[in-house]
Amino acid sequence: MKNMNKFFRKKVSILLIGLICLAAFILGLGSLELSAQKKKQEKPTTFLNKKSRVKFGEEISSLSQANLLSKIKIINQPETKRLVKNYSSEKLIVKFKPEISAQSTENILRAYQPKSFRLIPRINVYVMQVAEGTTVEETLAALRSNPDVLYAEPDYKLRLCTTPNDQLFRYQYALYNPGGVLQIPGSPTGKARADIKITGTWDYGKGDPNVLIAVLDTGVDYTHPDLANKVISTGRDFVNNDYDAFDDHWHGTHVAGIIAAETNNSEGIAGVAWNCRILPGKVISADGEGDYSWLIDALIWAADYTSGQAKVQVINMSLGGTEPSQALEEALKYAYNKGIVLVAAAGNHSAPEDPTFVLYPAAYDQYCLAVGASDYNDQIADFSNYGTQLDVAAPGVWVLSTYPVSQTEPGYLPYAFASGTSMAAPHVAGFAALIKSAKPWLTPADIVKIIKYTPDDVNSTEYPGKDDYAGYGRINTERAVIPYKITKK
Amino acid sequence: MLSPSIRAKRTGCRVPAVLLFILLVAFSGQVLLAQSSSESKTTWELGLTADLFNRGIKWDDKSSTLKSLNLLLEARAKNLGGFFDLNVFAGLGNTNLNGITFGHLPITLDYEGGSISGIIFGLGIDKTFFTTSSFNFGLMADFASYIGFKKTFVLEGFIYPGEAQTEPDWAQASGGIFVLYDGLEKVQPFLQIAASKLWGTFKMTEKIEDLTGDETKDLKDAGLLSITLGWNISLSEKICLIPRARVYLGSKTALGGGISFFYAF
Repeated sequence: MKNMNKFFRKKVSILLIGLICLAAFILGLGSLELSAQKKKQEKPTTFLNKKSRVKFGEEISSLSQANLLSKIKIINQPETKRLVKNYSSEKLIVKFKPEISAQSTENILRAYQPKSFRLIPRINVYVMQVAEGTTVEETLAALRSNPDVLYAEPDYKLRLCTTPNDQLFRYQYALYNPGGVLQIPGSPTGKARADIKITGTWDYGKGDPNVLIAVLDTGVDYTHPDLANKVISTGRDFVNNDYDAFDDHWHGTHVAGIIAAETNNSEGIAGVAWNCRILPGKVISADGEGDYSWLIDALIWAADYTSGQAKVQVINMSLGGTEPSQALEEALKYAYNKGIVLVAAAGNHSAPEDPTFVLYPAAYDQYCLAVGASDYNDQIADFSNYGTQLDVAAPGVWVLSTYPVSQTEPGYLPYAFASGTSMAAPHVAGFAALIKSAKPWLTPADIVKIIKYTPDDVNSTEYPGKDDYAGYGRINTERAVIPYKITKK
Repeated sequence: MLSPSIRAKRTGCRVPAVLLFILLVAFSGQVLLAQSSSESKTTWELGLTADLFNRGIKWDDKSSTLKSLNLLLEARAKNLGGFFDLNVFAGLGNTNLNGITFGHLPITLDYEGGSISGIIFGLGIDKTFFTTSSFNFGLMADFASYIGFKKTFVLEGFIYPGEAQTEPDWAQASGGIFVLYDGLEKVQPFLQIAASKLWGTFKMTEKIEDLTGDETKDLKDAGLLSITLGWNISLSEKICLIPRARVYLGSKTALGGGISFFYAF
């Protein structure tokens, strides 16, 4: 009996222990499963920021009203000005060998009897107005034969990278392209999500106000309701040599709006980098032309600019020239070495005589991200310049953005549609600013690589991988910013 | 507990963990020598343990659960030197650190890659200091260290295929009290309450063409208290079975457990 009792106790104990172990094991596995399910539920099921989407939808629906549509300007630009001479007839750029002292260089310069000359600091380059009765070519020849001169070059002309247009689109398809027939006259069909995938990206960051994007362009209308709170200062006008970079063209205002128009403010458009701010630098005159020397000056100024905690982290250059320039390259290097991401438009060829190669500064591959233009179907725009230096593409056909209030005709809204690689580059500049805002420790080289390695290869059927027409592809901000989930294979 | 200097020096917890392990084994060797002259009888046992180790952990200002399925070979000396019980173990650990996000990498990586194999080793000491007719009261301490093997994952969807490589390690040191009920003939239930410290690192390396970065997350426990409930079951004179359930309390409570077979010789 005693043995029976012992045997029974032993059996019951073992059974009890087994049951407890089993329960503990199942509970452990259950908690593992529950945890996995919970994680799945926590992840957003859609990339759309609901609030942004609603806001965006409201904007779209308001724009879709016929009475408002008719109030948005379609920029009917004149043909891109053909440059008979692609450099200044009065100025040139010269740099002396490093061993020549500042006093000596100025004495040498005076020997050429210039009307004036000035030093661009940091890179020790002089911009010189040639003597009365002397041509730039003659002075250049004389300087180049001087053994103390490191290099002398013409002060080349810059031009804006826009193309004419005569159509209107109702969407900022560049930011969110719903696809299908666009409800505008002409009813073009857009490809769904042929955009920069920014709506999902905004869930992870909308930019830092201390991250400044310098817009080196025609200036910016800093009184525009969608820009007034986004422009950090009146900037610097290198054309008229003052501290008021007000836009007397329209181009810079349009570019600034694409980058960082005030968003979620119940009016106007959304910018790529919601919370980042704009620093305007005017390097292109009212007639749409600028000199390399103005751009060089502006690059140095922007690179050195600080205001409290705010610092220029990205420079957008929706402009270009056909000629290389050592001084321009030095200025780019200076800015790049100060930790700034440099973004430039590849250029447009809208006529057979236009160059199709990537313009300068975009062609300086070591320092600049060269941006081409794509459209609402992820096709590369036929005007977009191409070449080995082209890095990425971004929407640049019929892009809606801000337009100077002072130039807005009565009855119109201060917004306009425009096309060009000029409109593509600011999408990339805004993207770079978002990355820098989220990860301030990244170097410009890192940010450039992130932008280059994360696009959608939109022309992979014809040209798989990197090619001369789309570069690495149309930018995809989500792939760069939204965390990549490493999963068990 | 590891000294601050040891803690500060580690890049992972590998070097001090191995050192501590070697020191403790050396110490137990000294005890063994002392035991040879002792009159007390030591029982030697070999065992096999399967353990589901679940513990809440913190990294940055976030928390998740470290899960590790461990298969261990154990050697146990009971009444070593007439003084205490010593348990040394080593084996394979499969640690799962899902839920950790590496936000400092150029492309942020969210780890959901499951278990990472590695080696796990350690030792434990029990000392009974007070006995009644049915209860034994005592102190316990143990230390375990896991060193994960490198595991590589392919990063897809980028212009160039990339890869991510993981390298986890962790260690845990515990100390506490136990009470064992000795009133049953073949079964001895026991309860163990311990303060337990966990620390470790999880290193992630990212490479997409020439875009590279690495980030190491410091891991620590989400709570110090653990409670273990178990049973020593004598299946025969030489074979013993020990199932146990364990809960780690804290901001992220986790339940685990295991089962061990021991053979005495």
